[in-house]
Amino acid sequence: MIRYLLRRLSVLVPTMIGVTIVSFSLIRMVPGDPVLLLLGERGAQPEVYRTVQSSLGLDQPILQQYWVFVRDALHGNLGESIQSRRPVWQEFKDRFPATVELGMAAMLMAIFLGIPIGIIAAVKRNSVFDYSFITLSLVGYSMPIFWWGLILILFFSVLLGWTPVAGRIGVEFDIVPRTGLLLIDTFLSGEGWPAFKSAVSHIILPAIALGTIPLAVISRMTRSSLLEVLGEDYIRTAQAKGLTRARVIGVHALRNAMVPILTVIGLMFGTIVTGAILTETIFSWPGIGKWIVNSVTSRDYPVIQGGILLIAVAVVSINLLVDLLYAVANPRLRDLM
Amino acid sequence: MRFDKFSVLFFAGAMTFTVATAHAAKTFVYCSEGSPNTFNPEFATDSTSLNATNAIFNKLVEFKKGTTTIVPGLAESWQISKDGLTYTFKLRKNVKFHTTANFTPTRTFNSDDVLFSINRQRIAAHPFHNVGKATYESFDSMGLGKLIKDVVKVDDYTVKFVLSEPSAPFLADLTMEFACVLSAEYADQLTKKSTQDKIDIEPVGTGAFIFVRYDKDQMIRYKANAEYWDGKPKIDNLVFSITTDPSVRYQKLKLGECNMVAEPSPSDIDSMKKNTAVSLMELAGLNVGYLAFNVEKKPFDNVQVRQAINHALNRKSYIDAIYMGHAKIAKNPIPPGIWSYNDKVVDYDYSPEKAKALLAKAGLKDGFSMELWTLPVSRAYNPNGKKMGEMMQADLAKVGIKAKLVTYDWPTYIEKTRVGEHQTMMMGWMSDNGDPDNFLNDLLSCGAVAAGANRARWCSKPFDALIEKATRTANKKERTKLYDQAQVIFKGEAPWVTLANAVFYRAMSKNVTGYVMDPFNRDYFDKVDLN
Repeated sequence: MIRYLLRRLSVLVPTMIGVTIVSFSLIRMVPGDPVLLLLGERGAQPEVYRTVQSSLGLDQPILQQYWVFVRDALHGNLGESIQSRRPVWQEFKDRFPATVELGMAAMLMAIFLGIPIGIIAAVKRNSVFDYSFITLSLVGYSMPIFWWGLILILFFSVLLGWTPVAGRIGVEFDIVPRTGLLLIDTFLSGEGWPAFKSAVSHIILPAIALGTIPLAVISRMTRSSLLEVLGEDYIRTAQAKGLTRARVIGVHALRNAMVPILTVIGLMFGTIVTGAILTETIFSWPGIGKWIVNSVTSRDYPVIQGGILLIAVAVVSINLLVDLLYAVANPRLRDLM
Repeated sequence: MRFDKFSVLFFAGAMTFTVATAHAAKTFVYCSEGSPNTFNPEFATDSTSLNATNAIFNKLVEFKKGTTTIVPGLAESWQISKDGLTYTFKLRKNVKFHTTANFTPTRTFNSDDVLFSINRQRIAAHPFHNVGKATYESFDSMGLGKLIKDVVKVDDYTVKFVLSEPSAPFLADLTMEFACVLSAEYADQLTKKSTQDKIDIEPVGTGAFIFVRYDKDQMIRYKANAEYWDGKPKIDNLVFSITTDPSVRYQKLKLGECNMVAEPSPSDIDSMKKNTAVSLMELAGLNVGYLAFNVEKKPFDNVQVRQAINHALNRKSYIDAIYMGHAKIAKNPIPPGIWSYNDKVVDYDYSPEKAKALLAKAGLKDGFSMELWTLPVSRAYNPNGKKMGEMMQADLAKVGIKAKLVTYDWPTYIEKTRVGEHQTMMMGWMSDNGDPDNFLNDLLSCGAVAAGANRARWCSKPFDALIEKATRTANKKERTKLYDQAQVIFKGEAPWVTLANAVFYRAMSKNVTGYVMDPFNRDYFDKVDLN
């Protein structure tokens, strides 16, 4: 187990080096100069331009800049945002909870709807439910988030008036951030139910928009994985023993079908992060996705480099955690680790 | 666009909700377009940050809302010495700084606050100069470090600025946001606690609204300053609800989630005009987009050639295709919102025939070949330089001129055009301070040829003499007369084709009153109300 963990961790090193190189160089390949964006039309004055450029360290050779970035990152310093002049880590920390909250809501929806739907589709194979499920999940999987999000707004907010258009909570609630997770903070703040309800009504649409693709993938994976297991000999044995149908499916089949489902859930966290970039922009959700988009627009190099590195660390850690959960789901895998 | 069909469909539903939304304690929600970078106006350069700080701070002198007329702010009156070197300001008494969670002022606003605010930017050794890793782009780029020789406290309510040379636009410079007054007492208290950084994060000013909190990328909360020297605001709370997508902003406006939206999307403008629950305001901004001829290069040294091209370009078609109609044809180098704009100037009409006749007179009957450098960045004053270049190319071909389109990345473009490598090039300008000098002197004087900002490299002695004289004249009426004449010379000599003045829009719900659009594209809420 420990050897397995060490092996997995050692693979992380090249992954992280790759992430730094890609995030560092990609943004520099995009045309646009952070200094000129900062200065506006005034960039026309070379002296001012050069002063600002050197104050940001952008007059150094590219390799030197990369070396400084990696060296400082190893010391836990990700640099300062060009726009806000505040440490990247600080800016990340302030926004990460919002993304976690949205991502969790989307994933919970995807898991708690996706697995049962997948089970029903597998059990009622070739039924009308199964066929409509297969069609719908394909539609859900292929739906672009930016379009789906706007459709949700038009339908639920504009037409039905059930949910707010965008934002995280109604302006009438003044919540001082403590945990950063607004659903919890609303209670800590003493505003109680009305504020909580406002926060819930704001998270529903973005969670649906963000959770649709994971929902489609998880439910399809559940269906196919379960179908495979249901054909196994030990399932027939269990049925022959006279176990109830619920027990055969719920305990014997599902547990064994869980490993690929867990893998997919782990991978979906990566999808959640990329999806958050679009979802947060549409729903004005103040998380890291929107932060990264803003930084790309303003060519805020340190934020893009540092932010992507932090996101990569988060995604990789979640995947590692999920891999470790295999052992819990399937004892046979413990020996392999 | 993606919302248009739906917005018509759902219009009725949307209306119901707009009406249904009422505000108990008057909270004004402004759906802003982005997150501020800072809450210190001294180092903000973008209008998003400046809108956020303008609610909090005041300057010594300000613009009368919606105009470029300078009126008293924190200074009640001022005197300019005869030689134009000394500006003496009498400060307003009994102006209170905000009381916030961290700061309770023990004294009212006085000279020390002015000295603190200006000296922080001016003097590298000032204890607050490097706080927050600040750089002072506005102050530095206006050359004020050199222009201001000293700031002297005469008494508690009198401050004297001593300049190194006379500069009539100096007063206008002080209306820019970098001249906002911060509290020196707050700075002292923070220094004692060694938390100097807070001065820019938890701002304290004298303005109409008190900063409450910034929830990053989400909301900025302000409450009304009941003791505001210019009258308590009519709304109780002001919220900037940060909504980056313009279509979503419009939906929020329709559903009453905001009272006003910043920068509506051009594609929504028509729908907004039709929407009876929304009022749409528009104002020509203080900007100008232009095509400059390098008069040092042949054949553009010939005024007839320059005039011919002025006639040859169909600017109306550019306004329709490139600005989507959200701009007006520019006539003068200064936009119409700037005082001394000379409306009597006669513009060149679109006429290929006149163009051909002028070219024939110049001995270029068979046309010629030229390079046309297109703007590589998108700006309000010219949203798409390349496309405009292509349209110009077609227009010029009609009069026998073969234009080759050239462009570079922005820094290279700026550098090469500064030294005059181009034949013709696109550029533009946005007013810093509402003063005509900011256009006429900075962009068209003989001195600006050497400095590089005069990209036509046009140096006209009579024009320059008028501008020079105006810079040294304090009297606005006399200055206006001088600028009037200068604009006539400019038009006749045609060193530019003046292309467009971009229009700004604001959309708000019908119950908003008292909002005045600002020619600098800023938003002020101290006089707004909700009915």
